[in-house]
Amino acid sequence: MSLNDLFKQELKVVNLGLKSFHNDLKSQGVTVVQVNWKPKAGGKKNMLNLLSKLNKVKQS
Amino acid sequence: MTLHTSIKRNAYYDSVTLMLLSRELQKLEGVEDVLVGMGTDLNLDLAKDLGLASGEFDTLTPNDLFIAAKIDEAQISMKQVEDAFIEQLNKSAESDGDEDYQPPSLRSAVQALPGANMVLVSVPGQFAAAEVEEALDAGLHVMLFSDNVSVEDELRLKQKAVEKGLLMMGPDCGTAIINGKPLCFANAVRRGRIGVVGASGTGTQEVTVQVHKLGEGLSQVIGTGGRDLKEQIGGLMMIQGFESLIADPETDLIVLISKPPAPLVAEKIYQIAKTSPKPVVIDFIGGDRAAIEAVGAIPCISLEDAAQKAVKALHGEAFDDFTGFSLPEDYINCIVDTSVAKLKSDQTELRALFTGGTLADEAMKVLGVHHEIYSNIPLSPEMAIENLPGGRGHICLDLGEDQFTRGRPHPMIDPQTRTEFFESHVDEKTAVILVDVVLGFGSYLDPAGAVADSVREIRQRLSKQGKDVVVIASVCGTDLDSQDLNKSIESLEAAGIIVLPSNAQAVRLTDRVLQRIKKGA
Amino acid sequence: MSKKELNAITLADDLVELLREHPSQTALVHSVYPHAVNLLIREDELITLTSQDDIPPMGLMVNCSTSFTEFLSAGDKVILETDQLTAVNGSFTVDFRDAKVWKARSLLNLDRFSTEDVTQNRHNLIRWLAQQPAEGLLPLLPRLTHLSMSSKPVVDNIYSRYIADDLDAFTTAINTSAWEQASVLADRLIGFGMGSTPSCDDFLAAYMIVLAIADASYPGQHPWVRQFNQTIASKAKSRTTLISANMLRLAADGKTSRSHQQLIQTCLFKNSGQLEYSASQVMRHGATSGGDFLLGLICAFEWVQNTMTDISKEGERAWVENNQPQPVPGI
Repeated sequence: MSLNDLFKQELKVVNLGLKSFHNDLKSQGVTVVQVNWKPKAGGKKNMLNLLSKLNKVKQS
Repeated sequence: MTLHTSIKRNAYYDSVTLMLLSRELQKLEGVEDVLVGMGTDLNLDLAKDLGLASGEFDTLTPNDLFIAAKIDEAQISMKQVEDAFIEQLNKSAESDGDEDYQPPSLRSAVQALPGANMVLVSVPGQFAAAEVEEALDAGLHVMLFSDNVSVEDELRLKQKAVEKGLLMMGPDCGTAIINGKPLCFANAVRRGRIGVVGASGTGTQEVTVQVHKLGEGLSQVIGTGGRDLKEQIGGLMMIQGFESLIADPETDLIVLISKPPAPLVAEKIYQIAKTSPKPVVIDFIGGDRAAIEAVGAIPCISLEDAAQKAVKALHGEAFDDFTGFSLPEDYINCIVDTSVAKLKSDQTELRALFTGGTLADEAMKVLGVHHEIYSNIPLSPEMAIENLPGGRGHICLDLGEDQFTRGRPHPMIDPQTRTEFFESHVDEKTAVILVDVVLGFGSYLDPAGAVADSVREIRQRLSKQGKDVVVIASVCGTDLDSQDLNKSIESLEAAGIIVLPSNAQAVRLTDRVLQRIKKGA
Repeated sequence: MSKKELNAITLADDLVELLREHPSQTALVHSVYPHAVNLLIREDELITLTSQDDIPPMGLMVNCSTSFTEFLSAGDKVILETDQLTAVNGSFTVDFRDAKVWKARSLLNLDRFSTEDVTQNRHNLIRWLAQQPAEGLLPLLPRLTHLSMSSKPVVDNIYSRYIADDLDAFTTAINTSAWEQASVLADRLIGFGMGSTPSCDDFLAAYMIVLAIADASYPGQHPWVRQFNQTIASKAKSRTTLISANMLRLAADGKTSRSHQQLIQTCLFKNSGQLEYSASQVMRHGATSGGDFLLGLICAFEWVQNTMTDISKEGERAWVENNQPQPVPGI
């Protein structure tokens, strides 16, 4: 979607982070969804290791 | 009175729910005493102590929920108590679902909101880049409020955004108004024909507020983040925003706001301005006036001046630099006279305590011409606040800078930081206090009230030494802001604060008062 | 009835480990809440499905936007496999394949943090908690923290009034390292309070996790921790609810939910701007009572403060001794 198309559309916002921004937008009637965001615990590497372990078990 | 126990085998409810339920049951007519809990030994001990134990207790296990009650059966039956319990339980389950569903990730949020077009990111900096990347990949525009995002990430993300024709406003972008909707820290302003691209948050706020006060409105206000016009980023978002406003049929005039850009970046922007079919007003706070004029753009001397010139140019009226005051010169002189008259001879120093970064920059630039100002954003390194000789001298602080905000909210959100600085930095040598009061979305609900309270306390403190102090303020806000411009001005004036209609004028008045003090000494 | 096809977003690593060791097994739905489901395996162990953004040990977070009560009841059977979970009656499946893995055991090392920061954060947490509704054990906050809070009179409840002395005695014992006495006093706490995890169990869980973290941070310094935690966990088996006994068993091992871990971590860092956010997440989430956990955490951090000070003092002394001028041989 190009920038000038955005100017012609209704603004619809996904909010990641401060809840007050969500509330401000909502109070103005902007359609907004708040993401219940949390830092992803555990590194990706770690996840891959465990998942690959899982897959091996499944195959055996 | 009879004792009863109702038992629900393997029933599980959290303790807050049970606490609230038992309180409701206690209120029922005919219930003298009631205890709700899981059938653990210790809970049963408690029930026994309270005289609520009955024969049924012997069959309870820790996994059973019990309701033990002493009731007057003439008024209520145990069945009715149980029914009330179930009814309350259902009520609390319903209220549980009241809150909007919050999807756990960006991906699921986009699924939950068809037609989503903007992602607002304010998560901690180290996690922000990954989220922004995902948003851009999904074809969504981004406003990145978070700071602590590396220059490398910023460059990569902005390149991606430009490639896809998307906005990537930020990092550290606090102000934008897209399609009339303020995002993060922005004021409620009229929609209109002036478009803005700003690299500085409160600078953009001040310009949009002044445009609104002059009766005009804004089409789009695009933020870029403070580093956009540095050489490493090359002004990617300013250029992207600028070009989109040129192409936007709703925009008739464009205002660009930034601190002085890197020369190469400035040159790129001037070239676009040169070919722009729409008038362009440029406030590169202390930028190269001749270069701006050379490409046919309109240079400015302050944020207020930028707004005035934009409105006049839009109306096809002639304009000059606005160097004065909205009030008549005589009146201003009178304010300076009466202000200086109430100071004692050893009161000479300035304490400027800003919450808005660009407003502080603007103050430094003007005040630094005639006075030596120590600051955390000094005009030259030797004027850094650390070098303040014996703690004595003029001080101007941007309280929104990292060293003051670490671990606490920005002073525009929470006035506590400035309140503390009023206490610690204003003393019997202080002649003038200069402050900004920023209203709008995101800001504290009554910033003017907080300043007024601090000033009253200071005055009380100084009065013990037979002294007073001059306090000058400007309010960056509109009549449409929830904090209300007029109410804010009233509460400042009620505390004896001199309120000017713009930051530029407040700074100018401060400059005059300080000059008069210097002359007197 | 249409089949619900859910995806797991995150899996606890101890659950991953269990699935790896036991690739296929049947579990019984034990208890169902709007946002959480407990599954019973091997007689007395629980696995928790949650649709909130928090995950407990042995848990899996799923993308379920409706209440679990709509399609699950206690007694339903499910089959657990390494890559999915299926209801025997066909009502739903959970696909694990795209799930991320989360570590259930806290890896914090207290040695890296300063006592001053912990003290400051604890103080801030007390101030914040004093503003929250005084449910559960929270009316005891002033008493257990030895602070007088002038702001408002605390309204207590039957449970908190009844347990006040025992709880006070317990915290005093443990904070003066009289751990044998403390484990006896714990008998007066396990299983006490409302809820499927009775209030005192949440309180104890906070202590056990902090102790486990301290034990891992300073190996050998607190040899009693392991025994203390195990004693409470094994007593809990018969004295409290199954859900709570599971929580305490995992806590003895230093495992707790993500929101708890985040809060503990936040309590250790300098100028924690996130403190109130993390604390409110704990208050908000889960079937356990967050306020009671927070109270336990505040009390346990008093112990941490003392412990960290002692160790740094010893460190200073050791440094001084090592740097004493040594006699030069031969002169």
